[in-house]
Amino acid sequence: MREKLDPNYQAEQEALRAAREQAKADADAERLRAKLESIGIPEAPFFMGQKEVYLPNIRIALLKTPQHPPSFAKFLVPLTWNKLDLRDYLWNVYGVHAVRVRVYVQLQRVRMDKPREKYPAARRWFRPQSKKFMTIEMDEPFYWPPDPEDFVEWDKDTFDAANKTKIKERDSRMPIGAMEKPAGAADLRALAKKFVTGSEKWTPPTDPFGLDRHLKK
Amino acid sequence: MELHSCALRATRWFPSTLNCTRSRIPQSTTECLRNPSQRPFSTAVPLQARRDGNKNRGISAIRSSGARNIPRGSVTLKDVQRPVYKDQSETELNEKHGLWGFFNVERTALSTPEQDNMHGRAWKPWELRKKSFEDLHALWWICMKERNRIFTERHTRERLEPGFGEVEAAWRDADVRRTMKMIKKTLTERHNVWTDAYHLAQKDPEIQWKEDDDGNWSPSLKSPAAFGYEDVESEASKDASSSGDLEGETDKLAPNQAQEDSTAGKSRPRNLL
Repeated sequence: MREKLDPNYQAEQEALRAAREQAKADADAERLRAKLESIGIPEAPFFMGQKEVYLPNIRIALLKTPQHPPSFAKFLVPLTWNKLDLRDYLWNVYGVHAVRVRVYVQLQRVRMDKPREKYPAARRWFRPQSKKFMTIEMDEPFYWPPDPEDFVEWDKDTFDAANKTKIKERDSRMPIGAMEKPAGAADLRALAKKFVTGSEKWTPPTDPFGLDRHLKK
Repeated sequence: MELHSCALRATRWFPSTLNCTRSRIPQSTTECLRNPSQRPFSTAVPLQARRDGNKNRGISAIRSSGARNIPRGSVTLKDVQRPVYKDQSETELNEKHGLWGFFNVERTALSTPEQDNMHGRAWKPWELRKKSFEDLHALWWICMKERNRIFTERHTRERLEPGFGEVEAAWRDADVRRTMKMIKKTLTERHNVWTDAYHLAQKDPEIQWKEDDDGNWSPSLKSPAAFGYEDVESEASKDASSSGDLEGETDKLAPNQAQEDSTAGKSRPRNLL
């Protein structure tokens, strides 16, 4: 009955509903805050996301960016993430305050066939999934530890030598290997030229099969 | 009449003849905008690529886009002072910075294969079954951080090309992932057991789902709906309302059974959960 008499009834009801929803949201936020405090995560200077994620299975990588100031840090993040995800994640997991976040999605090059295909087929194009990079601006600078001076611990010399041999062996079995001249080709060519011009005379080898050794016995 | 029809026919078969005599009709909006002579008269504001009126669009401080809005010639590259960052040796290292979490314990840029190999086996399910949810949850996040560290070092390895060590890092990552798998397995087992116990308790006559007159009831589970299961109380009340006169009887049903059981010398209503 009041609905018809009072013109403000609708507005009042809506205000009441909004207040109720606000109170519920506030209570939820307070509960989450208490929960985070019990773990030891301080209150964030920004509005923390209210969705509780317990067992996510993702990983992010910190990338070195010498071109940026030390208060910047670049991350490779999942493609599904947004700026707020990274900001909340870094605050809750690492205690890093990301003041600003910048995103860049890098399209990958088209390549022949899928990765790890046994017989990659021509004209069967495959584009790997894009990569999402986020650069954050922090309140405190962070300096990367220096790169190792030498790679003795990683045995770089052996690794490079093995890699070089592997590539050489692989190329020798490919058609491109047959096109290459064998070792000592230049010397043979010069010797052949001498025989043709007559500056040197060819003599047959005295013991081509190495039989002398056996005959002496 | 005949002439007119001839002209029409010519237009149809040789459209280029018409273009020689008349100005060409612009084919698209872009063409209209690009060529002022082709632009039709209009008082409307011309279209722009981005219509937000942002003068600084496309200018970035970190992507070397350059300053477009400064008139050319007013400032040369020599006039611009290049930023000088403080050398690491001059500044005090922030030992408490959170980004150290992406590095190993020694805080070096890259772990040696020996360091990566120094780890035990993954957690076994019978070890995890003894742990509380809080412990398992904490262990999960330790694993997450360890995987982030290994992922970071993978990119460092691509940058430095130090030699061996990729396999050791992969083995370590595999063990971490095995632990995470076992955590999920343990929690799934726990959940399945809880579900079974819940369904078993529903059939158990000793368990009193509804509050009696004295305010006693067991198990002391406030609302099964909070755990994602159907609300037994609300269903009971629905049945009661549908049956009408039997409302009082359904209320007394459970306490009576409990009394009978207790009188028969059996255990009291159990608090299963």
